[in-house]
Amino acid sequence: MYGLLTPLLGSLLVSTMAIPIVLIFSIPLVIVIVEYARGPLSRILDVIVDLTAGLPTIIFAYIGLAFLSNWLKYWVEKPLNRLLNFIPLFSCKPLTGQNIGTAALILAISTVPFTTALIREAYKMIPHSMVEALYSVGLYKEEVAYMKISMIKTAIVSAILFSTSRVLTETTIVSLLAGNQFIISSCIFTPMITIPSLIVNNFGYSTIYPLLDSVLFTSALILYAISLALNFAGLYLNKRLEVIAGG
Amino acid sequence: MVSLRFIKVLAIRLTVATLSIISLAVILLIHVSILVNGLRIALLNGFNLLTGTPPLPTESKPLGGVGPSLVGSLLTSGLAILISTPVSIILGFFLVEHRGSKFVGFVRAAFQSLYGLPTITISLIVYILLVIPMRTQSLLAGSISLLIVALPMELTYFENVFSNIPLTYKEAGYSIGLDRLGLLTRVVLGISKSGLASALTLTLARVMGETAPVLFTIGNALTSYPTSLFQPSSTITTLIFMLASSPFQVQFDFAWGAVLTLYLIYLFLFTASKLVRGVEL
Amino acid sequence: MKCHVEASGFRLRINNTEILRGVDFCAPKNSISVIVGPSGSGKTTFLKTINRLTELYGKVEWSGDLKLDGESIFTLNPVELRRRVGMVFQIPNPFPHLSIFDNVALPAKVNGIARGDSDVRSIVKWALEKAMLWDEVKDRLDKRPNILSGGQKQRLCIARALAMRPEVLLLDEPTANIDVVNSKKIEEALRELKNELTIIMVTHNPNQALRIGDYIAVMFEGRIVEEGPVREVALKTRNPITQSLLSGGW
Repeated sequence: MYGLLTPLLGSLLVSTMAIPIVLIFSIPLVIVIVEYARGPLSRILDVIVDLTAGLPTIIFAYIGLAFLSNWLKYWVEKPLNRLLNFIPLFSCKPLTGQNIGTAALILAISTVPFTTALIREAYKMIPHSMVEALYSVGLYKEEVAYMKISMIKTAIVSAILFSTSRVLTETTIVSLLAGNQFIISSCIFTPMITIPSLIVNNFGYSTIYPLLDSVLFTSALILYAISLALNFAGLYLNKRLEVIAGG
Repeated sequence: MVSLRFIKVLAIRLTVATLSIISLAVILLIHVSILVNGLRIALLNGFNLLTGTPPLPTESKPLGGVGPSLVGSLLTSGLAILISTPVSIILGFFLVEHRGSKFVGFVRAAFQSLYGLPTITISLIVYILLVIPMRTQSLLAGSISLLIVALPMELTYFENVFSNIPLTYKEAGYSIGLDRLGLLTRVVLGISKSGLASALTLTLARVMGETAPVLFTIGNALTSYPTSLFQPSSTITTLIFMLASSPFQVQFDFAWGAVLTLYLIYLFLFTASKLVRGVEL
Repeated sequence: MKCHVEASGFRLRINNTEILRGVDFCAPKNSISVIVGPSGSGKTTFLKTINRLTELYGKVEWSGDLKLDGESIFTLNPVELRRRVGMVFQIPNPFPHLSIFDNVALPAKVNGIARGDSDVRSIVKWALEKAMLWDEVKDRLDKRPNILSGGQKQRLCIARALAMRPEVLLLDEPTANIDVVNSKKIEEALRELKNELTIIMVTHNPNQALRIGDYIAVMFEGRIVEEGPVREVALKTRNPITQSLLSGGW
């Protein structure tokens, strides 16, 4: 009756969808800002990224609701459903724009600047002597960038951990965009529920239904435990990095 | 003959360029749409945007204001920072001065875990600890929630600032007969003024943009100005949340005005934190 | 000859490493005692123990005696001790966030030496004059120290230490990073100051030791290996360590 498995799966699902998207866009952005942009442009981009990273997530949620869900529904999700509905991922008809796919996308968009900032710090910390050594063996800028990224793999993992923690605990975007239905399906256009949105939506009833408040509280604690574990793992990795870099 | 290596390099360059352009375009679009749509609502309402109350579902145009929520935001964030800052200064100084001890490690770990507390969980905790006994949601409960968000953040920032003060100034301070408290107030604070101010503005920016912690704790009073700490109120963030969930188009549309207000406040604080860094030291 | 600062058989461990291995030292009143020795011999540690600054860095265990005016420094209140014993550091470190005036005024105010604005102003003027800096800064007292040269900053630090009216002034290689002209000024100031307080100075420069020192103590591996009036030690020493230090510099 009060199964927590559904929202838990929903939370996990939305982050498994969002994080790869975040990585795909963050890493190239870091490379462009550090390697390709010249002096003042690089600094301006840094400021824009930092500014957007701290932007309140409710704003992302609202923009998502105002534009993306409708726009996405007509221009992306419906076509994908019509054309590719043999793939289970796209097999359901999107009724509203509010489904797990949209939520994951908006989550990804809001997390990219944050992750970019984290990875950028590690990327910039690679010692100059190392970079010079790389160039001196006759590598192209792109190959050097590739090597640098592989050097900071631990930092990238740590960034993933922090970002996942952030995505899992993000409330406003999922509440407004994920659809809030107790369904689990492999189709990304289904509305689903996550732990934060579970709490938000059922909060008002918690004084009426017996035991509901303890259920919500338990789920909140589960969330805390997961995010704590992720955060500490990220911090632990960062400590290891400090030792390696001799910092 | 183009070598395989050259093709690889070109492919990397192309992918990196395309993906970043997409990211930057999306980011830019976000800022632009906030400004454009927000301005539309702002121009429609003029100064009343800041003082009025949100439009009723029955209105035909998105006319109204964010007044009560704005005040609620300022009060809760202000109170949270007011309490968090002195506590974090003292605690941060203490942590840096007693670096090696196990007790310090324990305290730091305790605050790190506070840092990882999901904001929705904070909301629930404060609800259970404060709202239920008080039998009402309130400004106070909202402030406490934000305080829990602000403390670990400020503590981390301040500890960082304090540990970056060169040892030689602390030695000089002790050598002229200052005790620990004297060193903090007369030397450490003075030297780290700009770092502290920057950290404070950043935390304020973050705290004003939080929605989840206040969602259950501050209440839903969107149309009346708060008269006491113990009454329900609202913040700009909860206002946006409510308007965004509204089935009425006019209210949903009006949310742009609230979004713009929040955005401008955030922008102001962000810029302030960068400027303060450079100027005072 | 009474010793203002006296150490007998003084041993010191910091974080379980023994740095001072039995120091016997005497700094007579109103004189300049110079401590010389190779790097790592413990000179700075000894100096910073006299005003109990070393206790701030870790676990400190000591044995033997270290006395100020006959009283063991470890029985005195550290804050009160540090008022009586002023210190000037190797790299000039005036407080960057205070004006030149406030840098000198702070120790006087904090230690209750000066009460009231005119009192403070007269102490600041006195301290800056003794440090031979007054004429150069009297029109810029409200400016930050960053406008001063290295040598001026160091003299400011001397003035800051003097503002507490200490009995003893400790200086850790005060002219090591200072140009020749300013070094000479500082040495001149110290020569005059010894009439009012006892000066203990660590130096790397054998000529400086000979120029302004009254007594010299040679430190090697945590012990004082030779001690006495400067002329006597310099001319008559048979100790090979002293000989190589004084002739070749270190």
